Amino acid sequence: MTKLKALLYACSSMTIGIVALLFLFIIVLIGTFAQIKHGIFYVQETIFNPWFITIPYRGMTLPVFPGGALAGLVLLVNLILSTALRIKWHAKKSGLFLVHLGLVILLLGGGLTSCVSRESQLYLEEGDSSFYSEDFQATELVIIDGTHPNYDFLTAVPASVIKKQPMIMHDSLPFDIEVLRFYDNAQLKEVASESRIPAAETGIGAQLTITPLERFTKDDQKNNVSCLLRFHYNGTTTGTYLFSIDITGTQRIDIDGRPFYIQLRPTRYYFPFKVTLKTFSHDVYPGSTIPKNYSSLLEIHDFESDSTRDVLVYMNHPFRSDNYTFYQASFGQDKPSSVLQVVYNPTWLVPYLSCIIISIGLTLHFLIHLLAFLRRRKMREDH
Amino acid sequence: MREWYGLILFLPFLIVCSGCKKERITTATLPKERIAVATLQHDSGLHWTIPSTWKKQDATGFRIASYQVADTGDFSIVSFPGDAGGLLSNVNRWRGQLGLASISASALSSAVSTIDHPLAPLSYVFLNHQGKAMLVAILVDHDRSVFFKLTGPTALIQEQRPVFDTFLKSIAHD
Repeated sequence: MTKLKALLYACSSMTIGIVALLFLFIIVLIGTFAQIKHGIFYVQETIFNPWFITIPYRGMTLPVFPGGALAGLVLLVNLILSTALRIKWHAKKSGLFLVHLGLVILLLGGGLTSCVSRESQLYLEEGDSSFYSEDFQATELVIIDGTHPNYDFLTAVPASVIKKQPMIMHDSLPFDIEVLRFYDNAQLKEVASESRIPAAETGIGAQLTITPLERFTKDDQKNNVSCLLRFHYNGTTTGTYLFSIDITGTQRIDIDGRPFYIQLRPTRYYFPFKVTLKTFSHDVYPGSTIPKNYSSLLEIHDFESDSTRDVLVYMNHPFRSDNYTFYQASFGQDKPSSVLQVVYNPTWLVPYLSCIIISIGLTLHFLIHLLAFLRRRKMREDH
Repeated sequence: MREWYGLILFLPFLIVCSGCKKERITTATLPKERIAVATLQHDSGLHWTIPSTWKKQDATGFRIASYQVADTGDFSIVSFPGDAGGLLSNVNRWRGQLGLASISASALSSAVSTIDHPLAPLSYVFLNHQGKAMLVAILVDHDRSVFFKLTGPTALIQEQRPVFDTFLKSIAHD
């Protein structure tokens, strides 16, 4: 056996599989206790999703334990190799093989889902329409080219790019963006009330001061992501501009006579259809304010087919289209309005597929052993 | 040999995950939307007198100011640059909110009246459908449009109409 084969064979051992499962158990335990102090999104980002769980130490980031991604990857590789090497590829073991294959597909699907899926929210008042949802856990800097009379051309720069790159350049932009400061969280106040230096030289930031804050980690606290930018074009440099989640609305910059509207806002995901809330219904149990049922009657207008249809979304009855699923999450308190949780997950069928394969495998394994048992019993009876 | 079959299953997953969650700059061509310009809430350059019975709320989103009227009414002041998409598109949007069908440009003059005001003539819209009503006044002030909108049950809006008209007369420049 070559050294590579020996290594692969060692990696397929049950010991490694059990250790990986144990690590996953500990990670879930750590993540569960962490949610006493932090929100689920922060715990996902720091414990469940990364390769390592880290702690700050003397200005460095020190990995102290495998994260969910590493433990899951070790388990996945172990399962694949044990399926390929440890199970005899024989008709009698076909059930076992299918069960392992189903588990591999389940883990692969979980990994892919964490890569490609995204969650966002859609708030609609009765009569309102929208073709996008907003992700309040993610931020983007949008530059809207207002030159065209019939459409808006939009360039969206994720906050993670602004945080890492000191200079942002893109073919769609006739200017470069210099990032002077990025704040994960900050407090804005008016200059007049603070008697302090303005945060920026021009734009609305010239009327505001900015104080950096520690990033909030609880789900019910909103981080005011902010950044200080400067724009360069044709050898000209603008003054500094402040953009912030708390600054609602765009700031206009004119470049060579073309108007650009720029804003930092929650990331938007655009649908291939338009959603209109026709009616929101809210029933309570008689004599109480406990919600019994709330539902949203939506009109869906597909852009490609130009067709329109009505759908009813209510508790445990989501609406699915084009890999989007719309769940009835909540409702507005003051006026008839609906809050829909929107999940985009192109791999939503994978768990169902893996469960079907595992079920077939278990059934097959059971039938193979049952038939063998009955055959042996018949042989004993014949003798 | 068999170990390579397993890795064949694993390789596409590795390739997909190598690009996983790497956020990139994206572009999109979208239908024209009203673009709100950022302003400080008191910085509209206008002032007005709010009726004492209207209850102040937190101004969220694009609103300069927001008030609750009685228990079921809502009053908002919103400012947009330019003509905010045009009078017809806004009237049809409000009609849609009440469940009314859109109207054409030729029907606009019968749906919108004009009232005199010291700052500029105000476009004035009253809509009513199935127990819900809406009063909207639009002031075009220099390079922006300011919307004063009162919504609620029809009976409340009719009762508050004189109060709304008195409020409009109080609007003035700083």
